[in-house]
Amino acid sequence: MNLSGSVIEGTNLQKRYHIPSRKLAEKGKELVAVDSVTIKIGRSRIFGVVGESGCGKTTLGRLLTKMEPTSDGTIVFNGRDITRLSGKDLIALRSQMQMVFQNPYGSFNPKQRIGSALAEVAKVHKIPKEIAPDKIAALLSEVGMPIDALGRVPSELSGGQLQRLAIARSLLLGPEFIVADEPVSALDVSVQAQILNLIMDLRESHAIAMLFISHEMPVVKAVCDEVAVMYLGSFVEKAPTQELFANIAHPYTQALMSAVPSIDSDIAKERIILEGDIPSAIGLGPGCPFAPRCRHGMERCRLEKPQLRDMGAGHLVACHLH
Amino acid sequence: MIDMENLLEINGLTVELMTERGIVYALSGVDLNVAHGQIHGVVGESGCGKSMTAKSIMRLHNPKRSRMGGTILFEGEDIAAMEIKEVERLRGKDISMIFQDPAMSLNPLMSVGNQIAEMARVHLKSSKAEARQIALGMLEKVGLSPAINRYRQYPFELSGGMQQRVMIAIAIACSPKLLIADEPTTALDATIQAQILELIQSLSDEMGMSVLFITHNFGIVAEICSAVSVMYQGRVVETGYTRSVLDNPAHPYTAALIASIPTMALESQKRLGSIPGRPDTLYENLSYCPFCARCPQAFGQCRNERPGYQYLEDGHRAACFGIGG
Repeated sequence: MNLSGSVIEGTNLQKRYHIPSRKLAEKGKELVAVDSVTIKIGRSRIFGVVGESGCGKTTLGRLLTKMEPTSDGTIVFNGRDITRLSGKDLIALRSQMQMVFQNPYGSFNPKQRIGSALAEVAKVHKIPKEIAPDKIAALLSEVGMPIDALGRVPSELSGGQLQRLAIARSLLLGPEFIVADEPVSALDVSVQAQILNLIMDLRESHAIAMLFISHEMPVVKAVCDEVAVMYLGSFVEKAPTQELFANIAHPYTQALMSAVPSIDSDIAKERIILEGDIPSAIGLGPGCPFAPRCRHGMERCRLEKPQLRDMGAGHLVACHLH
Repeated sequence: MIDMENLLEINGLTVELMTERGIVYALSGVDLNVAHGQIHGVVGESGCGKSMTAKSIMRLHNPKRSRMGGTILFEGEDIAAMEIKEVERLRGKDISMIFQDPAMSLNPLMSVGNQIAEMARVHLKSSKAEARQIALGMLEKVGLSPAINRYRQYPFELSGGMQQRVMIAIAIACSPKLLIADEPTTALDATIQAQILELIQSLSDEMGMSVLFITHNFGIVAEICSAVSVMYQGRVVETGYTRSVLDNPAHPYTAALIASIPTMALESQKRLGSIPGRPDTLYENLSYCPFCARCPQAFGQCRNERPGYQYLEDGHRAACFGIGG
């Protein structure tokens, strides 16, 4: 048992990629995909990471699940340092950490029957043959799928049904930590709601710590206990969900919020339209990564990168304004 | 919505597709009107027929493998009954279209400026010099400046948001009366989506251009559309002014769809409304309400007859027996 109460803890995580480039200007430059991220997720907690394409949210998930080695920082899982884990130990660890992806059609073999895909997981991780079928059946009913789904191939199922099965598969080995990478982005709204409800139920019943990656603010708000907003590799704001949305502090979070098309007419909101595109994460300068697009950008922002600071109530913001 | 005001009037549009597995009843009686200068949203889930409706307006179905019925009146002329030569006269000039993935729609081997100029050359019979001027003007108009430099760039040099701006420039190069936008922002990031939505809205205002805006996102509808049609299983089940539909949805499907959207106003950790079951396949031409199996309010009549429109105030109408009864 760990003392801190968290299932997974990443401290000062960094991931750098070398850019092999023939362009002289880019020679020897690095792409910093994740920069000094510290994250802690407790049992039965859903931690949301929101951000736009290329902000590093998926890479963060891959670092925590050891799909990719970290360049710097430490990862502690259930009180044990797994940063440098490899080989057999790493394989054993995989059963305790699972991923659910955006496109369920891409995460199942199109020719393999669902039953066989699930049985394979059980076999690889040595779940005894006598127990496996019962376990699978129980999970199926938990995710709301009929048992005859086992005889189907992916093309015979809808996206929502297949995503339920992907979730069932991720739960089969009794993991303690799940990374859900945009699990509802490919689904229709009414189906999306079903899957989000399912995720909220399972988090309780399976006592799972979850990293929930999304680009949609309302989705994150709906399911997460804690939320971090990521921009070009760094957390720019992090807080318990209620607190974050009650007191949005970072200019990027504000812009992201204002960009959410809303059906509510009574919310008179200020429209902030950011100019330009998200800059490349290659060879970032010393200042705040958001400074070039920020309407409050000051001299200091271009020179010095702001660090996350606690504003109280567990609300952390990386901005020179605060 | 009075007839004179409408640029586009679709009545009883049906499309049947011949497939290897049998006839697919893709559209079964679509009624939809778009007023002059209006941005009209079409919402619904995958397979409901939103894109199919757009394709029908452009007559993009393979005539050998599909059958079309009903009328599509554009400025009083029936597109559905036209010779394909006449339709080609409209395409790109009076009616143009933009799609979800701009990278797939642009020619990777042609500079973006030339792709815009090509429109003027083909449809307006402009000279090379004129076409170039038009293209430069369009680049400026969609916010790609300096236009002189952008003109020479190729699609791969541009981000997704900028590519979509180029698509829009191509689409509006001939000042169309109707722009069909099929999920134009779905592949874009939130902050870029906001830019594109603003652009489409300002162009519509400025040019008096009607827009048929196809999306699955009610939020976008609320932001930029003045009217909306909700589609389900190849039919428009509800239509009306946006605020009227969003604030007082009359059709149980619209209401359920709205309830299932996670919104910022919603309290965190609450269960979302969801619609049980899923839409049927379209292999049958239904003689009853297509939503009845999933509808919490369905009664006997719903399972035996197809509901016609019930009219509420201000042109708001919905195809449901449960209304007013």
